[in-house]
Amino acid sequence: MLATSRPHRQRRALTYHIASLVALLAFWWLLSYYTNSAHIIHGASALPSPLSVLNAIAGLSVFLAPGTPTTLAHGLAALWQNTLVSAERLLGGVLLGAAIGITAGLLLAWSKLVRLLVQGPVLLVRTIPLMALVPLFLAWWGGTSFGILAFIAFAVFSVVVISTVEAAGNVPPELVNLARTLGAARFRIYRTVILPAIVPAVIGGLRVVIGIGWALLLAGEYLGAQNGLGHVLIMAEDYLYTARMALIVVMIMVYTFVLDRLFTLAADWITRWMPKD
Amino acid sequence: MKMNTSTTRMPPKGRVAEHNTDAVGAPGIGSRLAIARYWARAETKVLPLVGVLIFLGLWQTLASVLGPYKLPALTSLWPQVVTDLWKNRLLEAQGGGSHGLAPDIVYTIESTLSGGALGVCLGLFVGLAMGRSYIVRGWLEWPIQLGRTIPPLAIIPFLVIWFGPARSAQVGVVLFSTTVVVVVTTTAAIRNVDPIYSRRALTLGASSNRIFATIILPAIVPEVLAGIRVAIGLAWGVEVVSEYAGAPAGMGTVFEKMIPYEALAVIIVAIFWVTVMAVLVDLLIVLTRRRLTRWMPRASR
Amino acid sequence: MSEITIEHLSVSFTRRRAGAFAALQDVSAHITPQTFVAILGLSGSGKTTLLNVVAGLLQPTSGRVLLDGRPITGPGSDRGVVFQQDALFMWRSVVKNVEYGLEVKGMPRAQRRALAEHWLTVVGLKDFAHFFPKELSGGMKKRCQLAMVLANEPTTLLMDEPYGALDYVTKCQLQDELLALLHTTPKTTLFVTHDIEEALYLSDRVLILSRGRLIADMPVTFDSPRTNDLRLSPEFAIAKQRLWRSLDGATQQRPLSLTGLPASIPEQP
Repeated sequence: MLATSRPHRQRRALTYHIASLVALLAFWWLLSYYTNSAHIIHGASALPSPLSVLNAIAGLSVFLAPGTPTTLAHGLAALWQNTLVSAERLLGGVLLGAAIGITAGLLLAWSKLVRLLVQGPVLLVRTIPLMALVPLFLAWWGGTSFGILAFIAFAVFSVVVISTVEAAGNVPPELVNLARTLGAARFRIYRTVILPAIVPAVIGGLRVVIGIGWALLLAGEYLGAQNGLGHVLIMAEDYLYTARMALIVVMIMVYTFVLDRLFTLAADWITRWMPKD
Repeated sequence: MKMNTSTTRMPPKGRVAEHNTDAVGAPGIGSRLAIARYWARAETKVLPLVGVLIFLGLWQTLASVLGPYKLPALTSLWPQVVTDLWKNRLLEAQGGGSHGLAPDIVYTIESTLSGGALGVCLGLFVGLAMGRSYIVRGWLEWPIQLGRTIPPLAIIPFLVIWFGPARSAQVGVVLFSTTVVVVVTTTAAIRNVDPIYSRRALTLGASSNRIFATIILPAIVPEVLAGIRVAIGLAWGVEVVSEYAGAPAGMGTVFEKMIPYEALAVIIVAIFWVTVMAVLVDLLIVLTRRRLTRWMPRASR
Repeated sequence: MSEITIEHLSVSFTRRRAGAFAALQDVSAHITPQTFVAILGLSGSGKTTLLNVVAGLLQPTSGRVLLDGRPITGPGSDRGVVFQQDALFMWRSVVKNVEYGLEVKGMPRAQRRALAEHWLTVVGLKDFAHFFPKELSGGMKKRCQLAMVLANEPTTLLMDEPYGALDYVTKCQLQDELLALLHTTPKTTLFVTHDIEEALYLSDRVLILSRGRLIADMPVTFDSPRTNDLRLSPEFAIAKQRLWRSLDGATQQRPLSLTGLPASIPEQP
C-alpha cells in the first residue's frame, strides 16, 4: 500500500497465491466428498468432485450423434466440436461488431451533423441493459447461430462506436496540425493520423467486451441454441448431470483465460509504440 | 454556420478574409457573433432531438413493412406501455398472473437491488481488506482472478440445484457478479492512488492506519463508485437472464413465456421497463458520486 | 525566396463567456528572405497566434499575410512548422515519421527512405532510425521533428517555442545545431520564444509582442558564427538587459519609453 514492494514480500505473496489455489482445490474435494455421501439427487452429486469432472468428458459423446459409444476420444471430439461452434459465434460477433463500430465511429467523427443527429438514438439504445436485449434477438432470429452472433456483434458495436468517437475527439490537435503543415489533405489525415491514434482506445473498449464475451455468448446460447457450450450446459442441467455442468464451467474458465491472454499479447504488440506511463 | 466564429475554417481560395475590419468592439459585429454563438448552442440541443424523431419515424415505417411479429408499430406499442403494467391477456393465459407486468417488475427490482447491495458490501469489504493487508491479498488474489473468468450465468444451474429456483438463486448470481466487479475495481483503485499522497502524510507523521482512513479511502471514492455503477448496470441483465432458469416471477419469466408466441410488443414493453429501472438506479448512483466528489476538478469527475 | 509581409494583422477569438478577445491587434512587419526573426513575448502575448497565421492554421480576422507576394490561404509544405509539443506520430518509427511529408508528396518508397535517412544523419539520429518516438529523449524528439520538417525542403521555417521544455545544456546544443544547419541551408525563420537569451543568440532581428501588439522591433547584429562564448560576453549581457527592460515595461502597463535604447543592439567588438 505504501509503495513498499520489498522482495521478501513478493516472494511470500507467491507462496500465498499457490497456497490459496491448493487450499481451494482441497476444499472443493473435501466438500464434494461429504456432500456426495449426504446429498444425492437422482443419482447425481450436488457438488461433483474434481475427479468426476474429468471423468465427465467421456459422457459428452452423446452430443456427437445418437448411438456413439461413450469413450474419452469421442467425448473430447464432442467437446471440441461444441467449442468450435461457440468460438465461431463469439469471434465472428466480435470481429463483425468491431468492424462496423470503428467504421461508424469514424463516420460520426467526420461529420458533426451526423454525430449530433445520431447521438440521441445511440444514447437511447445504449442505456438498455445489454443482456435484456437477448429476447429481442431471439425473437428476430430464433436460436440460430446468426442470431447469437448478431447479438454479440451488437454488444461489441455499441461499446466500440462510442470509444471510437471519443478517441477521435481526443486526438492531440498538434498531430492533426503537423500533418496539415506537411501538406496532408483531410482524407489522408483520417487514414494516417486519426485512425492509428484511436487504436489504443478501441482496444481498451474491445478488452471490456471480450471480458464479458463468454457471458454474452452464454446468455445467447442459454436461451435457445441447438448446439454450443451453452446448449450442453443447459442440457446437463435438465438431466442434473452436475459433473458435466462443472466440466463446461471449467472449460469456459480456461477459454476465458486463454482468450484474455491472447488478446493482451496481441494488444501489447499492436500498441508497442505507446509509452508505458 | 455562416459566421467566422470557427477559427480553423479556411477562407475561400484566393481571398483572405476581407470581411470585418478590426473586429473587437466594432458595432454590428457583436450581435452577429451573438447570433452565431446562439446557433452553435441551439444546434447541439435541436439536432439530437431531430435525430430521435428520425429514429422513431424509421421505426414506424419499418414496422409497417415488417409486421407486428418482427417489429410492432410505435402507435400500437405506446398504449401498451402503461396498460400491460396492470393486465395482459396473453401473459395471463401463460400463467403469468392476472396483474400484468407489475409483479414481475417488483420481483426483478427486489432481486437485483438486494443481490447488488449485498454484492457491493461484500465486494467493498473484500477489496478494502485486500488493499489493507498484503496477506489477505496474497490469499485472495488468484481465487478472485479465477472467479473473474466464470461467466455469472454459468453458475446459475448450480445455484438452482443447491438452493432451488426461487429468489435465492437469482440473488446469488447477482451477488456473485457484483462482488467480483467491485473487488476488482476497488483493488485497482487502491493501486492507482498516487504514492505522493501517502508520502506527504508519512512525512507529516501519520500512522499507516490513519493514512488508510484519511488518504486511501477518500482517494478511491470516484473510481470505486464508477465500478459500482458498472456492476449494478451489469446486474440487471444478469438478473433477467437468470430468471429464465425457473424463477417464480420476474421480467425474465415474461420473456420466457412470450418468446414462443413472438409477442414482440410485450417483450419490448418489458425491455422498456427494465431500462427505466436501470436508468433510475444509475441516476441515483451518478448523483451520489457527484455529491461525494465535489472536490474533484470538473473535467475528471 | 520566401519573404513574409504581415499587413495590419488582427486576430480575435470568441470565448464562451468573455465575448471577443483580441489575440493580435494591427501587427505589421516585413521579413526579408533568409533572415532569422525571433518573436519574443510573455505567455498570452499573441506570439503563437502570429505563427499559426503564417503557418496557415489560423485565419486572420482582418489584415493579411503575404508569402512572396501571395496571400496565405492554408497550411502548405513550403512552410515547415516545428511545434512546441512533441508532435510526432507515436505509432511510426523515427524514419517513417521523417518520410511522412514525402509520402504526402507521392515520392516512391526507395527515394523517400534514402532522403529520410539523409536528414536523420544531418540531425544526428541515424542510429535511431528504427526506434519508436517513445524511446527518444526530449532533445532527440526535437531533432526528429526538425528532420521531419526539413525533409520536405520548405523555404520557410516556423518554430513555436521548440526548446521550451528542455534542460539548459541540451537547449544550447540544439540552438548551435540549428544555427549550423541554417548556415548550410539558409531559410527564412520565424522563431517564437519567451526566452530572452535564446532570442538574442539565434536571431538577426527580434520582434517583441505584448498583449497582441508589436511593441518593439530590433535588429541583432552579433557576428556569426556565434558560439557559447557569446552568451558570456558583456555585450550580450547588455543586450539581454535591454530586451528584459522592454519586456518588463510591457508587463507594468506603463507606456514603454524607448528613449535611451539604441535602435539596434551593438555588434561585438
